[in-house]
Amino acid sequence: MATAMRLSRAEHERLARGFRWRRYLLAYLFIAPSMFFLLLVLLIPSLWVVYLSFHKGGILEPVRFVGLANWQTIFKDRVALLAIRNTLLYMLMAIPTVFAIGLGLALLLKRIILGNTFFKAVLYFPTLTPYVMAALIWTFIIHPEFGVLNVLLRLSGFNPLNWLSPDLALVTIAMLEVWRGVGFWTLLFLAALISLPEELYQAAKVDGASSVSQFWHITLPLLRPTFAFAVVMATIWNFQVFDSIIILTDGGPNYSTASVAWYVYKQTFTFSNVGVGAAMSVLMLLAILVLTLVQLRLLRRRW
Amino acid sequence: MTTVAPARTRGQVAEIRRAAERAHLRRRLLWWALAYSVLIVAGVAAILPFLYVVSLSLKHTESLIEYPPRWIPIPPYYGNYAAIIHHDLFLRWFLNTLIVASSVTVIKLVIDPMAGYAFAKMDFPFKESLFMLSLSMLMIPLAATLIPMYLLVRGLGFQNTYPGLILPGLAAPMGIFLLRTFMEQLPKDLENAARLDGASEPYIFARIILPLCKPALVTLAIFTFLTQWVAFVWPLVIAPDPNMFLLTTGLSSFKAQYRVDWGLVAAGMVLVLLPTAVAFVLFMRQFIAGSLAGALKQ
Amino acid sequence: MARVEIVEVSKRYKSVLAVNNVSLDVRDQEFLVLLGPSGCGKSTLLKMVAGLEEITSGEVYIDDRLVNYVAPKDRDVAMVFQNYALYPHMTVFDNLSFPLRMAGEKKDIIKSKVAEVARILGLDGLLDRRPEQLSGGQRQRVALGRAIIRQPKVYLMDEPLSNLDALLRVQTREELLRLHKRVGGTVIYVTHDQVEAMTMGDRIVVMRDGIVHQVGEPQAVYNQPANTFVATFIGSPAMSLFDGQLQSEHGTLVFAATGFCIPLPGRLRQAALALLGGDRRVTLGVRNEHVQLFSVPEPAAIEARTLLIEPVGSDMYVRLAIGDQECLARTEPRSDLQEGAPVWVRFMLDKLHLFDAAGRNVLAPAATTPAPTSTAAVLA
Repeated sequence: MATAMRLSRAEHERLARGFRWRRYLLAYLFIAPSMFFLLLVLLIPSLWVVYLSFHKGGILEPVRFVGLANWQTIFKDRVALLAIRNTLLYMLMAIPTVFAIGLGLALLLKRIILGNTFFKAVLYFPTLTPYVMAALIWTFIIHPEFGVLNVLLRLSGFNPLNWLSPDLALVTIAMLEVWRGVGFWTLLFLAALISLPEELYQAAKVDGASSVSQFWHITLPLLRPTFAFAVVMATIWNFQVFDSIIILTDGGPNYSTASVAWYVYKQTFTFSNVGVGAAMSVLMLLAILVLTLVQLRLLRRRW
Repeated sequence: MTTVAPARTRGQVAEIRRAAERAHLRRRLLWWALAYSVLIVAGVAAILPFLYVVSLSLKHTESLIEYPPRWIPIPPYYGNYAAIIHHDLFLRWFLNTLIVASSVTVIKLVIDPMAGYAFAKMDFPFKESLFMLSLSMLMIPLAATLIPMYLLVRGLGFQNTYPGLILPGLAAPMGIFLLRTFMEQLPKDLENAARLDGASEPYIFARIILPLCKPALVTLAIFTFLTQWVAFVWPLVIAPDPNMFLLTTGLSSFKAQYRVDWGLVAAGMVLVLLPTAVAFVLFMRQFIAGSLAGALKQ
Repeated sequence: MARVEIVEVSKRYKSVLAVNNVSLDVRDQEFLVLLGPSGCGKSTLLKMVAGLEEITSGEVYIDDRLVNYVAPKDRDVAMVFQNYALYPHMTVFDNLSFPLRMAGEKKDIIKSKVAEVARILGLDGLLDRRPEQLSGGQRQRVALGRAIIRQPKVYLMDEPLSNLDALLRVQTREELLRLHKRVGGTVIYVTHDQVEAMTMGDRIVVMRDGIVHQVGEPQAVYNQPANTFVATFIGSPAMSLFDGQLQSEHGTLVFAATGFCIPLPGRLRQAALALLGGDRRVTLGVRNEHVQLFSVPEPAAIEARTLLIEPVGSDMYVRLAIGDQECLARTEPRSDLQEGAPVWVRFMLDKLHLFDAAGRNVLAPAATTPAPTSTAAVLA
């Protein structure tokens, strides 16, 4: 029987270190390129933008420290405040709508076999279009004379609407997003629904539960994690609404469609107020962060 | 023992059962009818705008102003397509978009599996923290980093260049996450056997593990390519030179003009959407998997 | 020469000690079996010898060469995995030739070596197929071939037969042994199947919870289990154990349990005497083939009650209740026993095993024998 070890602990540690670090080095080399870009494109800029929010200049004039001046500007600027209000309003309009329609369609698709793939493809197609294209398409749809919407209104006996009026413009942007996004969320919810165990529904049916009751007591609670994720993702994406606004309304009329991202763009690239744009960007980051954390906590604890 | 005399004749029982079956069938049919109508309405709502665009693209611009609008133009007018293709810059935009999207995809297909492999199969200090850090970057919106990125890229002299357009696309944590999850499911004994057989770590990565990751790689490729194909904000900001427009920024520039040639725009859109549509039909499952990738795995 | 020395090797995962201070000497050309229930650390130990797991503390020597910090490919070992780990996108030929290709061997040498290994293992016609086209048994042979082709010093096998069906397992067992004789090399073989261990091993190492409970030749371990864990783990059906007390009656030492008592044979006297001064609780063990049954009262036989009779063709297993404890006896098929009826039982005294209060065999040196439930390694 072999007895004691032949090398001292110190010698072992020395050898082990060399052996281990050779392996660690290789691992670091493997992650280096990816990490490099992540740091360069995401991490550092998000820190830098905070720095910028306390400074002025950068494009036209040299950078100089101005403390809270940019932040004061934002909270005093009527347009900025409108932008925040509009963004939140837009999210409140678009997200619940697209979820409701998406879930409804998903429930239907779950039971339909004939034409299932066809419908999935058709519904999903708008999601594949670039926002820009969707926006351009919608300039046709909302056309006062030949736009599909107004044509339908006229055929039903109503008066045509000006979809880009100060009252309706934001609604139009929301509708655009609903049209574009429904397919994606439908498929997401469908995948989640399919993963629910069929036995639960069978047991419920045997126990005499109606379809509505099944939905309320089985489907919804089990979909909670999917909803949690969906809401978080939808919030992050929709908070950044920009493309459709720039194409359709450019923030108007009367700033009724000014969004936070649009404001950042305008301040930075049209007015060269880099600092102000940066401040708004930081606000955006914080808002998304807070919203995400709040939602995660709420949805995880309630049930 | 006495037997209970049947309260109804056999014929009556059968009649009752048939009636119940008919009622049941009627209810099912009603449900199917309702379901399909809803789906058809939704489907039409989703697809109709595209068909409208196609029909627009085949019309001469003057005829756009007619009312009631004619749906199927007869005869179809191909002039728009001709004009688009001969438009000096359209093909250039197409090429630009192709170059940018392909480059980002190819580069990511190399560096993301490498990182995924390290996170999945190797051990090193701060492994979990670095991974969590990458994942948390998913939350950072492009708009928030727009300004610093602009200053950086411009400062490096990459404004209006391909590298400038490509750079931000290389930093999506989704790829690392996807590949790591997939590789973790591959049996550990496989790499162990290779290590014992004398293969070096890079060899194991490239020739043993990677070939087994095809589904994940395809998903990543489609997801990445598509994201780049539809990118708008960044190209708008960093490449204002019309020669360096991508299809998205190029098409949007049409709208900025005073007299918009809608037929032309429509034709342009069809051309842009066509490859997407074709690829979608061919690779539908991977497309859907690609966009849902991050979704369900969280 | 291909000796393997495992010196005070431990493996720690976060707060769990998977392998606890294990020391073993594997002799040249020996077929050593690591046996134990799932999770006992045998596979982890094997992987540490292979270099696939880092050694938390301790040393491993292959032919007097410290291999702790040597990469697996340079240790001159080969491994056969439980799930074979064949490269799925390569043909059988490429799988077999892989180690040689990695070593940079010339093409013609590779070809001839693969041909030879294929011949030995009966894989000749399959060289162009892919693993997915092979049966379980064929895949296993390819895995073996891939290990043999390098002619390593040490073969490490991690439950290679557990994925085969019962019939194939028995066949392959014999083939493996023949292969070992033919090809040579030292083998460390891991299994949880004690039949495999008993039939294949030159020596077996019984492990549980990361420590070694006994090392020895199969028959020796069977005849003299070091503690109650080894006693019940080896031998199927398991040994019957009785709880009781040591008592001194009229100068004789007896094992006393509720309802019966058994005088201890001479060879156990001295060890039992030593226990009288302390904890007198003991466990008596008897294997089922050493229990004699009589349907009528016999001298020196204890009365018991038959609970269950299970005929299995060549034998009959009879479950009995003696006092308030149960026992299993094996006998030839006979018709004089009835379930529920009384039966008279006599244990073959020279085959009795006595274990102390901690579960250790009274005949085993206490200093080096771990208690059955011990999680701490006993230092030699």
